[in-house]
Amino acid sequence: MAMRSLTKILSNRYLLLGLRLVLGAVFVWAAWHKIADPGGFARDIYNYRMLPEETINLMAIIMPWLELVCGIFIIIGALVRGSAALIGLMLLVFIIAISSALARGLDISCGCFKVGDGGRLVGLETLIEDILMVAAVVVILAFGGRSLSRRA
Amino acid sequence: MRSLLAGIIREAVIILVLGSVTGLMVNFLRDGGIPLVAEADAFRIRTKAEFVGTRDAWELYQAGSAFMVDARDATAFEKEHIEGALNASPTQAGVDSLAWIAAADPYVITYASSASQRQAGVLADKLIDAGFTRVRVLLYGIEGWKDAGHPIEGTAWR
Repeated sequence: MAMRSLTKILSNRYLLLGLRLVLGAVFVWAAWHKIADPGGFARDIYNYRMLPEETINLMAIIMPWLELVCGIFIIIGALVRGSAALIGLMLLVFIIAISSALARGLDISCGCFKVGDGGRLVGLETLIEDILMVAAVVVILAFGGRSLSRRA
Repeated sequence: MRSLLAGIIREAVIILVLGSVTGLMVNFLRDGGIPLVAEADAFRIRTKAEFVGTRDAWELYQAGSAFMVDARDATAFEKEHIEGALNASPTQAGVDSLAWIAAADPYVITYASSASQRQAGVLADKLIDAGFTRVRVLLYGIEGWKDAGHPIEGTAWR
């Protein structure tokens, strides 16, 4: 009974629309800053000390556009499932990177929005935000992928 | 279930291709584009000062021959810094605040965090311009110092 109520709430089209709009807006906003300063974003990626230096620029060039395209598609309701899946995948990568930075005590810019010096530092707050967004992705994939892209 | 997964993968591939191609094209056409592969040491800071590794810095620190100078802002400094370090912003005011140690011509090792390593380089350059002759930049910043288990103090460590 409780399960059925939860399913009913989570499949509410307005809730799903709200989640899509918020998630999309966050990704478009995040992408905007990175696209404006690819060099700064590359440095932020480097600061995590997780990737070979040769791959950093390519990631700094492509990832923000991927975020932007996913954000736009999930807002307008096109290719929702694919966008949600990719956003989920990117969030998992961010969660691993942030957790690793926290575990190593790195006092670095998270590269989430404003890039470079003066950007937000990695912390539990950024980690929790990403986990909440993964939860939103799961709800969208489970309850709203197909229907929302056609009807909402 | 299989067709649902196939649909998700198909959509994801379309987005991946669209995002990648757009990103590469824009980077190629724009003024502030960056090379696809970074040049060697592109991410390291540029400074007139020499760099010093954590081990050598530790030896100078232990011998009492060096002043450690934290180039980060006061908030980050208060939270944690190398034990006994001074805090000076990479500005003329920051340089002026260190004038009292200039006469002894000590080693001055500037450092910051990996997020703000550039500030350590800027401060080092300003100190050299102000007449300091033995200025070094701590290569791996406060993270390298911490990783090596060297002493740190600040509100985060109380």
